[in-house]
Amino acid sequence: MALLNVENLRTHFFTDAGIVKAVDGVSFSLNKGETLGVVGESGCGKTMMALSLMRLIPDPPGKIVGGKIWYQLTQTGGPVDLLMLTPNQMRGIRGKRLAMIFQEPMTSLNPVLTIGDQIGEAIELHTGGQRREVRGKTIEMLKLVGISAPERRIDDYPHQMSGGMRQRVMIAMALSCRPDILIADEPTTALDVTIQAQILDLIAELQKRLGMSVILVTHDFGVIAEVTKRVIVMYAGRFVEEAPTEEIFARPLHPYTQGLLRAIPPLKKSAEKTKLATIPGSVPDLIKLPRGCTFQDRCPKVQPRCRITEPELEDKDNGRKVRCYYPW
Amino acid sequence: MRHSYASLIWRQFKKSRLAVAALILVISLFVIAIFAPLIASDKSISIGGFKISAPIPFSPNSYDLSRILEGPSFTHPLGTDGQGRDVLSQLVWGSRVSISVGFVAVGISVIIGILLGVLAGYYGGAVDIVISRLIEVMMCFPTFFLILAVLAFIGPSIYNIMIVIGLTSWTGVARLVRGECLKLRSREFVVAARVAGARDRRIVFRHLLPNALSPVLVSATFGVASAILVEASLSFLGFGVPPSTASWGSLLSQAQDFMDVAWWLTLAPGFAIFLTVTAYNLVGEGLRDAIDPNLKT
Repeated sequence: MALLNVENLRTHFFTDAGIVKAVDGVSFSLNKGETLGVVGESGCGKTMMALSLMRLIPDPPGKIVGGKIWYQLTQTGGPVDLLMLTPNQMRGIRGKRLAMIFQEPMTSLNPVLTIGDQIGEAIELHTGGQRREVRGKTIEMLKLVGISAPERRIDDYPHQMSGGMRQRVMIAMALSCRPDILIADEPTTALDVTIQAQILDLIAELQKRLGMSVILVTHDFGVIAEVTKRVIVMYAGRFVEEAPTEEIFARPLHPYTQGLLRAIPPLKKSAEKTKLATIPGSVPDLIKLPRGCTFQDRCPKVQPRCRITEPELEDKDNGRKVRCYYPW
Repeated sequence: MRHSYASLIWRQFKKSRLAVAALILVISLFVIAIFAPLIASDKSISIGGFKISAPIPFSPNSYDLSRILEGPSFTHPLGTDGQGRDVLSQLVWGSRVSISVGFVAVGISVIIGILLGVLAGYYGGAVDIVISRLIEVMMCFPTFFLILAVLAFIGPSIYNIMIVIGLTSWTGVARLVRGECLKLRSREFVVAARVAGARDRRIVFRHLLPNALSPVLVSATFGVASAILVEASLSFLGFGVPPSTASWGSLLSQAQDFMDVAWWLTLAPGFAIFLTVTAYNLVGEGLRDAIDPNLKT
């Protein structure tokens, strides 16, 4: 049974220049204990999708204009649509059931509060308890994310910690109430490569230990390859491909996915002189999306048909889905 | 060791000697104001049978008509006024008026400023537009004349002065807090707090305000200096505290009559005002510089 089932989620921003369709008809499901990757270029709506799940779209100008977010709140009962909950009910779910970590560990922590105060915040909000109790749980969380001498570091301020340590603190904050789902929005982008691997390992290990599901949002296929089982490719606010991770590397179906994979710098020596492959052009203006396929202007295989109607997200074999008339 | 934000600012503040000197002056003035009844009084205090007289053995209102307009001497370090009152004693008591007006007025303006600033900056939209226009309208008034006009209606008293100065000087703080909140509310740690399930009130008081407070502190320090100056001006013009209470402004005003015969009467309160206002401004500048050079976050 799926833990989370998103149906046709649409988040639009109403600006003076027009309506920005940041998330436009997104559907997917997430099972218990699963790690789902979401990849795409900057500005394709990944973060807005993640924030929509938390119902934290800045309003105004943004608004979730349609869709359902079915969430299996209890073991026995039926799923609940998060979009139908009252703000108060939703606040009780944020941090407790649904948690999130961000890209920038430098700015995601409040500079005037100690890390202990910040990790303790979620515990205090959701489980209450005495100061000492909260402190004990906080130390436990710091230990869990691998911070040495947590009894001492708990009183540190964010500026006393390195980037990797801060990201660990962020993870401790997010996991302090043992959420069912962790949404990680580019959790390793701001870190250097060795720390990236440590943080990814930590997330994977904690996921196993706590039995939670992870939605990993990233633009880095290396990260996707390392931790996810299933991956969704997003382009211009829509999903263009969904597939098991190994298959997407072996045989990407959508021209966009193919372009993304080709753009990963190769490790071979002979590649030193060759120019890095890119996808020509950039993400289309989300206010004035072209008629037909959103990828038409950058697609090497574009056909007249692509400029008239947009292809549906079609089911392929092995549970794969692709939004293209001429896949592969 | 805890390197809190405050201790970082303090370390930076200490680098400026002038600011530290000014801070010492500000603190000593505060102490003098609080302990005025012990420092300048003609009543002696008895501790365990011993009678100890105050360092300045004159009350600000003890007349001695035989010693009118005496120049500075050993018994009266700053001389006496037209009714034979000790000027130093009056200055000491006058500091209570100046400092209490300064702090209470700034307290009122900071509270109003923070409240309106947070509302405008955090909620934005229509609330922001209304408050921003209100701030602009307030700023258009020539504040000093507004204060004079209001005091003419409700009558001068130290409390009215505090309230009126407070009610007319919040615009700076409000703009500052609004700006800080606008800047901070989109910062990721605010989103992170919301992700953790915090409600608006908690985000404002725990995450926004502490971050916005340092510039407010700087502005409040300058505010105290200007409030002291406004009170002195009001008292000088006769709209200030009633004549029975000594205030630096009213001392100056009374000194006018004897300007050509008793220079110390003008110089003493004038210098006191000058020193105090300068000290507060220097502390404010020191604080601003300590906060400004982007503390390593």
